[in-house]
Amino acid sequence: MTSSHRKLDNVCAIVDNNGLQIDGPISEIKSSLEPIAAKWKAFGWNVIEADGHNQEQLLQAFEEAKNKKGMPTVILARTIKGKGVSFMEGKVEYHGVAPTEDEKARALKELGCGE
Amino acid sequence: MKTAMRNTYGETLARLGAVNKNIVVLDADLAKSTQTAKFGKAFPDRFFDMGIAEADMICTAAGLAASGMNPFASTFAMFASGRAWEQVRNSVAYPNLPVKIVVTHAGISVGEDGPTHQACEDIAIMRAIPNMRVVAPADSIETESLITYLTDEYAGPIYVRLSRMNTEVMFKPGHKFEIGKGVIMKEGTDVTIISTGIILRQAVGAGELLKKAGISAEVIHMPSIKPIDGDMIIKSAQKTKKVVTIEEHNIIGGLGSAVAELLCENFPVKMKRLGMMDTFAESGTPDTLFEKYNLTDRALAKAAEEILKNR
Repeated sequence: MTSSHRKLDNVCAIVDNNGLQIDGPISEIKSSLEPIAAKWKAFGWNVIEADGHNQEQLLQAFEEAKNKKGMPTVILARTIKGKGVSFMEGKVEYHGVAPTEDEKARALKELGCGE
Repeated sequence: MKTAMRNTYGETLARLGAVNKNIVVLDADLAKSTQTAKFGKAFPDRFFDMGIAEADMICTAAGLAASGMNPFASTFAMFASGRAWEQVRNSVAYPNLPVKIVVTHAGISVGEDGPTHQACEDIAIMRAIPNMRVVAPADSIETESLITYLTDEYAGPIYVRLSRMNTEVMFKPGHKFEIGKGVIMKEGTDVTIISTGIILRQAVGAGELLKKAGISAEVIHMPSIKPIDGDMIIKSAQKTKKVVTIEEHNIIGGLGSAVAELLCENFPVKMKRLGMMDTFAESGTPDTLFEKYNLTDRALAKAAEEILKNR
């Protein structure tokens, strides 16, 4: 509210929205967190939605944010937790659990990062 | 003569703001109560009313401090220490930023506003944060000296506890606040009385009552609760062997606790702590509440006499 009240158009916030909380999916823990976009709009922010795994979309969003005058911008980035690692994708428990040595090796392999 | 230390706070900021262009002041929709509005009127471009958003106020103050400004952030004691505690700890104290958190309306002397606004835990929860200093001046003269010191010299986090009510002027003009230093108001040999903030009036009054009863009380004002004046307290305890503390704060974690921690480790003596006995008060005039909760000069003198009897 302070950023919109003071028209801070050089402020750009990013919401990494993977749909998960620590105790479970947002839909189960606190479903009324959605709609997130409408909430930011109501607080006076310029809202841009993007695929958080798509660099082109993100770069375009940053460009739009830079050009938007008179209000701050938030980029709502839809993401998948653990993206690119099959056994981590969308898993709540990987919020704070470090992978084992074995899991680390498998994850790096799947991500195309050689040992 | 009675004056309000929060008026002095606002006036001093407005005066120093003309000289020191780095001063910025933030408030959370209580600028007319905390008196920061005086600064806001004089320097509107360096005054930020953040609305009823204390966490936002503290984080913004931290950002301004990190950018080289000298921010003063004000609201009631209840809200700065209660609602914004996490921001005070993580955004101000942890990075050791020079944010001056100057609160008004501390303790039960808030009076009619009632227990929801009578912060009696703030010394305890602020004192427990590393890097944070905690001070409570006794009157307008000490407040002015303190705010000048904070503007000119002190560059770290600090919590300044001011009261709402108009209070007696206890010091002569020229009195200087010193961080980590107490003030001996009256020397004595039988018992040591230590107070902080506006309760000094009661402490001085008790000293006079005891004198009439033939008891020589040493009266110490301790505006600097953290860091506390260990040398002065230990020296006095070595002389009198009996210490009574008084504060408008819960009995847990405030001045009395700080004195007890110090003496237990250095020179254990018999002690009595006066304060809120782990209870909430209620709405009432400050004097009615002081009477009910034994924060008067008479109650203090009585406590001192009792500690002398049970030696």
